[in-house]
Amino acid sequence: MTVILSVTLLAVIAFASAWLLRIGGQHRDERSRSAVERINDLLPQTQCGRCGYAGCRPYAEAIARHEARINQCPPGGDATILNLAELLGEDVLPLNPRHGREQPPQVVVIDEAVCIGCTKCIQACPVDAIVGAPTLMHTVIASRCTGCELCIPPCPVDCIAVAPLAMTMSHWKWPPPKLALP
Amino acid sequence: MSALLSTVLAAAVGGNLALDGLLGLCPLLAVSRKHEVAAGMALMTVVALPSYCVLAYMLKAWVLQPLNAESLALVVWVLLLATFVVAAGRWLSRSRPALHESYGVYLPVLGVNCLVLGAVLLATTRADSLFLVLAYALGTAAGYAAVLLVITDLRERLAMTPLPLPMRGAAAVLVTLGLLSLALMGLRGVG
Repeated sequence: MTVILSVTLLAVIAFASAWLLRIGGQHRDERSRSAVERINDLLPQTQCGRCGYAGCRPYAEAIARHEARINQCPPGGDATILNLAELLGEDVLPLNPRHGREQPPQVVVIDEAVCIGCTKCIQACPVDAIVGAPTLMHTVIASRCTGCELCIPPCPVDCIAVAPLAMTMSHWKWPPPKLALP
Repeated sequence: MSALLSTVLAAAVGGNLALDGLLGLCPLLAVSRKHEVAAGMALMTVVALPSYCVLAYMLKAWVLQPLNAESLALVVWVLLLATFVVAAGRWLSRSRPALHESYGVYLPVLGVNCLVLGAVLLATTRADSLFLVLAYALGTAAGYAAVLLVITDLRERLAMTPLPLPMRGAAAVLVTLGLLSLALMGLRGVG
């Protein structure tokens, strides 16, 4: 009798707490996610810092605090501005030229014959897309590179060059429609 | 009223669970490195511990005792604590994502610590009314939060002090904790 009572009691308490957690978790839908996270999801995650902030998330936080405009992200271009304007209910603005121009997708390539292995570009890379070791040759992992160009200024021998991202069937997309901006 | 007040004082100062009972030392060592993280942990303790103790007492008084199943108390407390930690983690990840990230995978470890379990065991065995349990839990949580913040400040001081190599880091913090505990011994019986 005691055994049955104990097992039943524990099972009831366990299921009650699990049910309460489930009920509590259901409120975690799109609307209750923080504004910063939803803005951050729309940004291209290049972490290039061209918006004037240290990365995409700091920029998202600044937008959420109404400190930054939505038109400071050159890698995202018009498509990102359109999405942000839709999310925040603001007017669509043209990309601020102070932060750069919209470019086609690109990666950087290290001229491996010239590289002296100084590791400076590795420290500058925000997405850890460069591999290498001191005094040994470095190279860029093209699938991880966001083309942010942050590694180019630190290079002492100028062996890093920008290359357009080679388009293959695996990642070709319809180009986003151009915005008719006033 | 005075009984409640003296319970709060006794739990916070005289019988401080961290310094007198030496419970919950793992978060004291783990999150006392940065002030924001320690403040978040202190806030979480002050919010979660009293609500947890009150819920546990209600379960004990209204479910376990009538069914004569008080021997299950410890298992039920652990189950309840696991629920609380999951809920606290979700709430933290939604309201303070940066803080949640700084705890990382350690959040359950920090939440399910011996301090919480010790507090709920002591509260439900010693106190015999809902308000006394609430007062005891509030006092314990406040005392723990205060010790956590004091240790964080002391650690900032310790970081600038030239110490012999074997004493740096956790060793110095543990010795500091011992000295704090000695200092608190004089206040035993307050409340």
